[in-house]
Amino acid sequence: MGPSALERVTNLLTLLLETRVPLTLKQIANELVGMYPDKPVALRGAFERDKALLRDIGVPIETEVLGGDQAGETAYRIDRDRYELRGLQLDDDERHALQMAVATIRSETGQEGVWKLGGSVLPTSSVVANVAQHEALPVLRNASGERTTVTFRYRDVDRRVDPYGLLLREGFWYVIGHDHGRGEVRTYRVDRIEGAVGVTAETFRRPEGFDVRKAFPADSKLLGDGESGAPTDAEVAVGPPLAAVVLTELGDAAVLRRGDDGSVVFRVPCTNRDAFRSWVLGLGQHAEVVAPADVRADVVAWLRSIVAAVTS
Amino acid sequence: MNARRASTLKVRVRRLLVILPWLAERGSASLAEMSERFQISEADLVADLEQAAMCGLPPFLDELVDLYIDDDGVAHIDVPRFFTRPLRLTAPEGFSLLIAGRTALALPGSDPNGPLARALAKLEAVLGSDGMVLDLAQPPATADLVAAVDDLAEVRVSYWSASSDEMTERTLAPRAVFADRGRWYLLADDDRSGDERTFRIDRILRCERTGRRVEARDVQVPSGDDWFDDLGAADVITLRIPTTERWVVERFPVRSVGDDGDHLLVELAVASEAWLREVVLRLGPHAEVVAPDEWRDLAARAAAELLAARYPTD
Repeated sequence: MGPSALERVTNLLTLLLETRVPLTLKQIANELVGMYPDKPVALRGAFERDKALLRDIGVPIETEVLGGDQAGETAYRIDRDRYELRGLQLDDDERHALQMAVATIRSETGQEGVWKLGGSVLPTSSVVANVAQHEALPVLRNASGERTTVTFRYRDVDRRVDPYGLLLREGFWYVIGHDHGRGEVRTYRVDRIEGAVGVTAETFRRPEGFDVRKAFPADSKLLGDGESGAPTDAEVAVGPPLAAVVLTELGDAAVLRRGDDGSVVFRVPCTNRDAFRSWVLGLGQHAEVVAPADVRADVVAWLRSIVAAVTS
Repeated sequence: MNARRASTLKVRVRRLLVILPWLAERGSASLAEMSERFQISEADLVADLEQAAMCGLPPFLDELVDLYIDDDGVAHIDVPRFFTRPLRLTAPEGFSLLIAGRTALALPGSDPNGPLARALAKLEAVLGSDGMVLDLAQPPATADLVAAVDDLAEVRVSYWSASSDEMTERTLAPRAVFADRGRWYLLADDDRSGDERTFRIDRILRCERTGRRVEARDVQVPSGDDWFDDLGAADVITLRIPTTERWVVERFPVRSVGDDGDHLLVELAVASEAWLREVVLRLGPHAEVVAPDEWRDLAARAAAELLAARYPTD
C-alpha cells in the first residue's frame, strides 16, 4: 500500500516549512519520492488539491515566479513566521473565560480557535446567543482591522468602501464606511452584499474618534439602507393590554398621550419603513398608525396589496 | 478523490496540527484524555498519530514524529520543531473568537475588567482593532431570568401570548436564556401546558420569584436553524416567495424545500393561527401561502380585518 493522503499532505507541509528557498513542483515531487503520481498532469492535479486543502485550513503558502534558467516556473514555500500562532500568550483564567465565551455562541469555528489556544472542549452555558454567520464577515473584519479598502456589489452597484466598522444589531450585521463612489459614509446590510467581498491594496485612515455606535442609529427603525434618509417619527396608538408591553420596550420618553381605556400613543421612529411596518404589524389589531398621513397611507397600501395579491 | 474523502482529510490534517503542538508541549498524554479533549474517538486518534509517525523527509530522518503508545494507553511523542506551535488563527477563527468574547462581555453579569476583557484585549492586539460593535440590547427582565436559571429558582410571570392573543399568568421553571435574530428568549418548563416552552422576554411584563426551588434538568437550546416559539410547533405551512424577495422570511426560521427558478418554496412551522396572521401581515404581498389549503387566504382575511378594525375610512 502506498502512502496515505494524510501522510502526503503532512510531508508536503513539512517540506515547505523546512525549505529555505522556494521549491518548484518538480523539486517537490523529487523530495517527496513515491508520494505523488509520476505523470505530469496527475501530479499537478494532486498537488493543487493538497495546496488548496492546506490554504483552506489557513496555511500561508507563498508562491514566487522564478527567473534565470527556471524562468516562468512557479515555486512554493511557507514562511514559518506567518505559519505559527505567535504573540498571543493567554493566562489560564483568560483562556478559560474565552472558552466559556465561545460556548455562549456555540461556534464550531470558535472551537477550532480555542483548541489552537490550548483550550479544551466547550462547556454548556445557561446563556446562549445565536449570532448570524456570513462568509463576508471575517473578510470585512480583517479589512477593518488592517484599514484596507474593500469592494463589493450592493443594490446592483459596484462599491468601493473603507470599512470603518461592523455592527450587529437586532440580529443583523451592518458594515459602515466611506463609500468612494458616493463620497460619504453609508451603512450596508452584510447579508445583502451580492457575491464576494474583494480586498484591495489601498489603505485608509479611520477618522479620529470615529464611533460606530454613534454613526449607526440606536434603533433599526432608524437605519437607512445604504442610502441616507432624514429621521422621521410616527405616532402609533397601542391598545391594552399590549400598551404595557410596548411601554417596557420603548420607555416612558416615547409616550405622547394616554387614553382612558388604557391605550397609549407612542412616538416611534420610522426612517426605515420596512422595519417600522414589520414592527407595527407584529402588534396585530392592537396597534394603529395615527400620524403622519403618508406613513399611515403606506401601511394601508401594504395591507390592501396583500388583499389584492391573494384575491387576484 | 470525492468530496467526502477530501473534507475528511481536511478535518484530519487540521486536527493533527492542533494535537501535535499540544502533545509536544507535554511529551505524553493518555489517549482517553486526548479523545475527550479533541472530540475524536481513540481509534481515530491512534490511526492519525500512527500516520503522523510515518511522516518525514528522507534527508532528515532524525526529525520524524517519534511516537510510542504504551500498554496503559499513554502516547509518548517527540515532535519535530515544525509542529511545536499551533497554526495561526484563520480569519474565520479569529472572527469567531472575537465575536464570542464580545458577546459574552455584553451579557448580564459579565465583568468588564475581568479575565475575558483581558483575553479580548490580547486578541485585538494580535488581530487588529476593527471598530466592531455587538449590540445585544436586552429587555429589562433578562438579567433576573439569567440569575433565576443559575439559582434554579421558580418564577411567576405575566406574559403576553401571541398565540392566544392575550395576557397570561404562568409559573415557570427557567432553564436557559438565549438570543436569536436579535430577540431574547427564555426556555422554561411551563405550568399552563405542562411542557417545555420558549418565551419572548420582551413580552414578559412582570417577573418575580416564587421562593420555590426547581429540580435541575438539562435542556437543548435551539440553534438558529431550529424552530421555536412560545407555544411549540403544531403545524407546517409552505410559502412561495419570489427569489428576489427572499429577505422577507429572513427573520423567521424556515426550511427551503425547492425552487422553480423565479420562486422559492419554504416551509415554516406554525405555532398557532393567531401567530401566523401576524407573520403573513409582516411578510406582505410577495409571500403566498400555498399549503395547507385552509390557510391560503389567511393573509387576505387578516389584512382585510385589520383594515376594517383600524383603518375603516382610509
